[in-house]
Amino acid sequence: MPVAAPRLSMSQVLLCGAMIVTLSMGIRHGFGLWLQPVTMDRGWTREHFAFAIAVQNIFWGLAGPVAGMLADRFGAFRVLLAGSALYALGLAGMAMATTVPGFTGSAGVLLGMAQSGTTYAIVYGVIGRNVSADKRSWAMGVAAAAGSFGQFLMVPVETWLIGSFGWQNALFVLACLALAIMPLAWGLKEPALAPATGAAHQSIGAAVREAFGHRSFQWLMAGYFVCGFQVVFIGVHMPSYLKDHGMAPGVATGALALIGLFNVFGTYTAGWLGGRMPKRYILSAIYALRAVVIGLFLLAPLTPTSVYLFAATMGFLWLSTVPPTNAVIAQIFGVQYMSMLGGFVFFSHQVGSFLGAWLGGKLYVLTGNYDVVWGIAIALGVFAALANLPVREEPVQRGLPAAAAA
Amino acid sequence: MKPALRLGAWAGVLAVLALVFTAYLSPHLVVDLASRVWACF
Repeated sequence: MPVAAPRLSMSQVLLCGAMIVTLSMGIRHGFGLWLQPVTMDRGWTREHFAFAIAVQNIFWGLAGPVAGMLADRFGAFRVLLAGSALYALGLAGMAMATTVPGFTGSAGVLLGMAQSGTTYAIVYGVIGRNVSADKRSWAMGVAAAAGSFGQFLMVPVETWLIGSFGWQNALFVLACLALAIMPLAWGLKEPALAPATGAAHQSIGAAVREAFGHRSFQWLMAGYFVCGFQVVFIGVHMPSYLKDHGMAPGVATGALALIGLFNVFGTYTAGWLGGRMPKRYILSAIYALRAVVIGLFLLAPLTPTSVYLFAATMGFLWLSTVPPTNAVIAQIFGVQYMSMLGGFVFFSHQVGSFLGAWLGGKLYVLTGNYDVVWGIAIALGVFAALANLPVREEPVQRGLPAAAAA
Repeated sequence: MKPALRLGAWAGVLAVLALVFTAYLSPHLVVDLASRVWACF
């Protein structure tokens, strides 16, 4: 989509974008709650369920650049409509599937594609094009905080839905909620513009080549890989770690609540800070702090208090990488292909997520504990802290007018 | 945004967050959620 002066009001973009991300991130966050009822009802193993969720995450990452490219080319509105429909279809299919391939196709493939069309990268493209550069990072922080809030909100809501209406009806209710993205997408419908010509025009291929050939983009991708690894490893394996160490189940749910609560504050703060200081320093500090916090958590005696402190601090750092990473991309490469480039960086995040979940389990089976994976998480944190320091936040020089590159 | 409006918005946000947090503290939810989380391992 060609770039011009902002044309949707910031409050409209923020309100609709935030509500869309609240729904899209929130609905998916509680999928683990369906493991027990689905496997019991259908007679499947947890591996079947876990495989479908793994496929979902991979498809979310793989479809991200494509969905982003379509949003940049044809507008986020259309992609959001398609994403919303796929989301509802996937949830309904998840409820009705009676075979493992059917369940994997709906919960894995359809929902993965739906998420790529309804989450951060798509909404950030609209924010990038419609919010002035000086408020962009803050606005991305607001949208990311909304996504974090969705995750925080939907776990108790989905637990209540399953308990009150049964797991299948709960999925149908969520499918209706996913359809609510459609009317909200109208708020992000950008007016069509005449195609840009001359120096302002950049093809998709040129944008991809430019980004992948840019050292800062490579560093950002490396950092986001680490983010995915750490967050998913902790999210997936933390309850098991606590159980191994004799913690009561209530401690795990308390930790879950604290991560969710502080995640909201962390993402907002990171976006707000991004408008006031170099984003590479924010990213570097986030990854360094994660390494320190994990290290302290492992060194300190494991008690409910240490778990809660760890959950609160890690929660604050949880998705706080999202606003600065995407804001740097807009700063360097402009906003014309922001959703697509955000999709590529997110793909790297999902590869890290996959490895965090899989390697955590694999090394646990091999060694009998999580020590090695915790060590890897710390080392990766140090690596990402260093990798973000050389990121150059200056716009690339390609002969574009200054307004388009900003 | 006017300071009073900003303050009101923040108060609203914090109230909603506190409300959701209390949902996590309800004994029924803690037991239900914990059993579901623990069932994964």
